[in-house]
Amino acid sequence: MLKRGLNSVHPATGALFHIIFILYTILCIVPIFLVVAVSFTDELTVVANGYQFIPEKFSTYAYEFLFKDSTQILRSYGVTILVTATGTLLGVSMMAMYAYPLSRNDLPFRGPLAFFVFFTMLFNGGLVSFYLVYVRFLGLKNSLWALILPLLVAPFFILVMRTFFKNIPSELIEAAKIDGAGEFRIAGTVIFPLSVPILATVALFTVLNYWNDWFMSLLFISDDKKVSLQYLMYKTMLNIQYLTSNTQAAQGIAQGGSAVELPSETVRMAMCVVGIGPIVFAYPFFQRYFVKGLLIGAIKG
Amino acid sequence: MLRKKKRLVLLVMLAAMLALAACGGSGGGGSDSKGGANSGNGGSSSGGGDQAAEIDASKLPPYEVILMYPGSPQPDEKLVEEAMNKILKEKINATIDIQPIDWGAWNDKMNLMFASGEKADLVFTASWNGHVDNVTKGAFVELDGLLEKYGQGILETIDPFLLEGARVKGKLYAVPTNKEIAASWGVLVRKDLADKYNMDFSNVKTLADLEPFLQIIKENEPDVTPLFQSSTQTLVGYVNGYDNFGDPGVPGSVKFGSTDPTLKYLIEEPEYLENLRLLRSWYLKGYINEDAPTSTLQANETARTGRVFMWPESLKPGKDKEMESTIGFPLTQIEIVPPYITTADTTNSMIGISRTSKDPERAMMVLNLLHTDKELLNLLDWGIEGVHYVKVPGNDNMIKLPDGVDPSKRAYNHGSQWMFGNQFLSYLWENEAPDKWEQFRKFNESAEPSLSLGFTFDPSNVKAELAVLNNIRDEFTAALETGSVDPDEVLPKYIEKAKEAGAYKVLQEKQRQLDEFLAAKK
Amino acid sequence: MLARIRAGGIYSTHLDAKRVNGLAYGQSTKWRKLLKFWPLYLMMLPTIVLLLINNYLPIAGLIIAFKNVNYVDGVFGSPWNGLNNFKFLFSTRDAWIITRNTLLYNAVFIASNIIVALIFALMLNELRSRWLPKFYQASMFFPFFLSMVVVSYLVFAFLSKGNGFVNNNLLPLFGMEPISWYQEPKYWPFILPLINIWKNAGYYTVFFVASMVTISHEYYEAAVIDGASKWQQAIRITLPQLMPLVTVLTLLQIGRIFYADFGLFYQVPLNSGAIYSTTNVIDTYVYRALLTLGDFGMSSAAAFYQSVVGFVLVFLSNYIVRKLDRENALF
Repeated sequence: MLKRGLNSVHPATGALFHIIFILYTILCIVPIFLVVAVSFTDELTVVANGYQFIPEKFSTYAYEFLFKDSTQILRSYGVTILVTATGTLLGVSMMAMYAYPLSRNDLPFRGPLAFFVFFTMLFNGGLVSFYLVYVRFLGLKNSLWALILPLLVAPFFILVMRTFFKNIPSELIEAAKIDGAGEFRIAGTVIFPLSVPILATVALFTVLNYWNDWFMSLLFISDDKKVSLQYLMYKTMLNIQYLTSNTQAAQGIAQGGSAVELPSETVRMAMCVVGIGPIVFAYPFFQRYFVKGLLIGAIKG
Repeated sequence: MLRKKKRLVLLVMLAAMLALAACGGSGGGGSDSKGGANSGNGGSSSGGGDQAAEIDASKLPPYEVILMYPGSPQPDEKLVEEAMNKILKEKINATIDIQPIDWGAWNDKMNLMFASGEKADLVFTASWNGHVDNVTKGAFVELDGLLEKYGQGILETIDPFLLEGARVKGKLYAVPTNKEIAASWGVLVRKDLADKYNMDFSNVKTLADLEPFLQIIKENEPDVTPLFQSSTQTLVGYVNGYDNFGDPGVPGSVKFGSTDPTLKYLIEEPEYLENLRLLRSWYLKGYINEDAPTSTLQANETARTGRVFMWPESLKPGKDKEMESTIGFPLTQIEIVPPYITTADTTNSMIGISRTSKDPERAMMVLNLLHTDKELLNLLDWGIEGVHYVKVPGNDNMIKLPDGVDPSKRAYNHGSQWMFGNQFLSYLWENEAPDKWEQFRKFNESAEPSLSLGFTFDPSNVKAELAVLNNIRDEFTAALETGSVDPDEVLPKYIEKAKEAGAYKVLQEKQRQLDEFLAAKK
Repeated sequence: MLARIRAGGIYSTHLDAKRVNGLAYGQSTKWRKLLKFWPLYLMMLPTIVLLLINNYLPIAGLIIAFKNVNYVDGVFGSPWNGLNNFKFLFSTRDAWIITRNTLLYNAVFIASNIIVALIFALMLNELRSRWLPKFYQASMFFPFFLSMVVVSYLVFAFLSKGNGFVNNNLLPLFGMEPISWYQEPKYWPFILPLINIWKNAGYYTVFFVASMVTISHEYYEAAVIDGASKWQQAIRITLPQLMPLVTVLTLLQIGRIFYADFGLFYQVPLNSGAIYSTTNVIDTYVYRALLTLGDFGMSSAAAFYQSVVGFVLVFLSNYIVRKLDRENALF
């Protein structure tokens, strides 16, 4: 009796937690269902009746419309997956290798080096000079590297990682040093294996950053073969925003003699579904690494 | 410690400046992805008189002309380019690279292209797309000389009003598409419903005259919105009878047909308040969709459901027939403001030559061909005959989709035909009026040039004020013009806030420029 | 503790060496020490190079904020424009409103994201179930996938005046009249933070869960022996252990406090003018101002202003944190 009271919360409290989580979970999942449902609803029905969870008139038109150019979509999936995988592997390693030395209390210049990273979160030179560097200086127009390099290192993650590495007892490092391990071995065999939860977390978020990025494609890619999936899906949203917020353009185009055809709402929802696509499975994949420890801890506790 | 930090930052900044100064600057660097290698005679255009030059294709070095315009990339673009290249190679030893850019990316991409000095030749531009500002910044090549030499075909075919209206401070920086030169403003109406209730629109002269029809629909058709408006498509915004010189965001308008060159601030005109009151009463009576001020749906999108009776539209001959195919209901148009030729109309679709072009002469030759070569223009407009369209038997000028092609899955259908060349050379679709271009010509002849045709406002002196005014405009117009708020209460607030933000400073600057323009015209 | 002593030691010997033995000797020990750390610096090199390219090289672009850009002279050769590019940010009566909105909303967002995520993480930690916590956590992450445009459609489906869920189904239950949500400024200071939490809480929860995993079990075992309740364990052990992370997350976000989530403030309120007083933030203001003007100088000026405000605020907060606990400071 006493043991239970100490190891776990009161059953009533536990039940309350479950209820809270179940309600919140519903709040989070239901909209996704709605998006999927709308994407399978007949277009005219949506405009007439608004959104409904159970389509009054079922239709796969939105997906047929999207996949009329299925080679393009598949190719873009390919680009996105390639960029995401390369970028995440490279990026997480680079960030970890920067964050770990920063976390060492004996490293000279760690203050300035931390500031060096943090400064980039605050100030940036703006689009034009960034573009000049990539296009003129590096010559990366229409190169997949232009999709990878800009997102490789996120200062935010470096500084968060540093906090985690600081938690690792320095005695471990000292012990390894006494065993004759060099810095690289210490990092590779002691620090990083102990930091799987944060590495997995940062990897997950880096995956998401790459997956969701459309802006780099907008800037640097004009070759359809190298357009990322998210740009392919998002550009219509950009078109809609442009035309619905810019009265001048809307009138100018109307006067010019054409209505720019915007995709229907069902297509927009289908784009959202296609854009999220396989990435929802990334979460459970990475989740194993940062929840496993939690459960072990809980059971032991 | 801190000093060191500072030194480091300074050092890095210095290095960055040096590196960027080297690669930024005025363009022409070596890292162009295309075209840099095969041209190299850009500077040779200066000599020569003003007469038309004979073109000998065999003496011209090969050159690739890049055409940039806003629109969706098309799957069959490469095929069309190849077909166009056959003609272009033979005539002027050039090839073309079509580069459509999505609307949402267009502004960013253009600005970056100009700023980084990347190569481009023919670029779409329009008054509503910052043409004057770009000209002021030096984005476009001056065209008068080039037009004399290589654009005779354009000069022969285009309506002189169009060229006159496209000038910026007396000089030409872009060639307008040859098409209708004026727009009239009014509404589109569902013809089947109008017929059902025997509506007669022949006496409609003002907005108020529309009310009885809206009332009939409201009373008899509970599922139909009598008047559909959205945040960017409002009756008062479209049909106000004032010329705003192609930029509704800048205070200072002249009433159509007026000979008085004094600029008025539209929102202070009694007429404007009258119109708003009318719209407000309609909104309260339920004639207007409730979500109008925040609606991002386009009227034609909603109209397709059959739940809309009337919506504001920019009109030209045959607009109703043109829209019928997308909307799926019979339509008719009611003109409320008759056609005037204004700067806004003559500059709403133009093509300029970018300063970064390596060979502006050749770009002009291509432009000239787009205005004179029917085959070339139709390739760009509609694609390849037999693949993307077929001719209607017995009529060389009418086309239709080849059998078995799903209209929603066309491989070359950019919808940007109105941006290119001479529209009167463009093929017509089966469902369009066979005499569409004839109607256009008549329409053009019937339109009257407005007093200030050719005047364009240069915003560079009042940009800060305009930036503030843009926000204020966004805050009030959609709400007011859709009728969702009480104008007697809100409009005075709008006026007060706008005045405080320097609306009159802008108005005076515009008046000054207009007076100068008119003085120079005389 | 050990680490702190060691760090302090290095610092003082460094000073001592300089003072006692003069410059030459001081430099040679300094070099020797740096040499000792070469593998660590080598590890950092790729990121340093990348940041130099991605961020420091383009930083020269900051001068655009003071230039009147034209294409003939190029971006860096254009004439200077003094502070004129900044004028539009301050010459409006709305300057106060957008500044207030940006700072207040972001302050609320930072606090609420962290607090809610902390609570969720602590609660997840207490659940006795194999797969339910995983499921909850995964579901909480879903909203993060939705782009703001789609969120704005969903919110509209909820709040629309005509056939919105709230007006049609919810309010009648309480006998209330339909509300024009998109016309009434007073509701948005509640709606926007709720959407923000809904969208981001899952994201921050992941950080805290990952952090809790690394807390040593020994602390809890000792606590159990001392007879501490679960509640006490959470307050006395888990929370303090999470504090460094909380501090870092907060500081990092303060640096961006003058940047607003454009989608949330522009798309979700559907750009409705009537509610600008509670939805207009600096990013939406700049967007509306420059949409048709397309002026580099002015947009750079706005970004520069945002950076400076963030910089000042983060320096102040970092200074305070340093005073309280040097180890938790950012730099």
